Amino acid sequence: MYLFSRQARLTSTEGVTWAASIGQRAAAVTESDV
Amino acid sequence: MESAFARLATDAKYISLAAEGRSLFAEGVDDMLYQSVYDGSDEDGATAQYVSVVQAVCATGNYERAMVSGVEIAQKAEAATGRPTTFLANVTGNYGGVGWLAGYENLAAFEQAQRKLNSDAAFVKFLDANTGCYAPDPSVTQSLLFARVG
Repeated sequence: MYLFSRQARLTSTEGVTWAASIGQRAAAVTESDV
Repeated sequence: MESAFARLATDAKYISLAAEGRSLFAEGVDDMLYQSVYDGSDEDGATAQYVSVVQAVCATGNYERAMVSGVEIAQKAEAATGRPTTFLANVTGNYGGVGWLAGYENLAAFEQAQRKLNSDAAFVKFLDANTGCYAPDPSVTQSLLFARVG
């Protein structure tokens, strides 16, 4: 089993919503747990 | 994993979201890859709302001891907390990097597991006995807690 992580430092709380959205898209596209 | 990256690289919505987010974070992004050495139990990690990670780096000349005791630490942590605990080795990043990872459904579950772990004398004694396996550098030996936001 492999675990891939992508980390970034957000500059505002606005980024949290975006991070959730891109995480959900990555999960759907890759069919992985994100 | 190759096909997952290929799909992401050609997914228009993902690319569009990535472009939108460029102004929302400082500096660049850090990609890391880890391989499981010990999977723990097969609990579905997708249900975890919080994930705790302890990171360390094998001390020079102690790689074998560090990997063997790393598995034992995960197993003893599972026994103490009742939580599946995975032991991982870095594929990228610091050479000899390792980590222990466990998931929790809420903060109360995390706190309870921490209490059990810290009050388990046999577990703490085992950690002390194996301290020399890992580099004594606080900048690489870290405890992290992640919360699911999506």
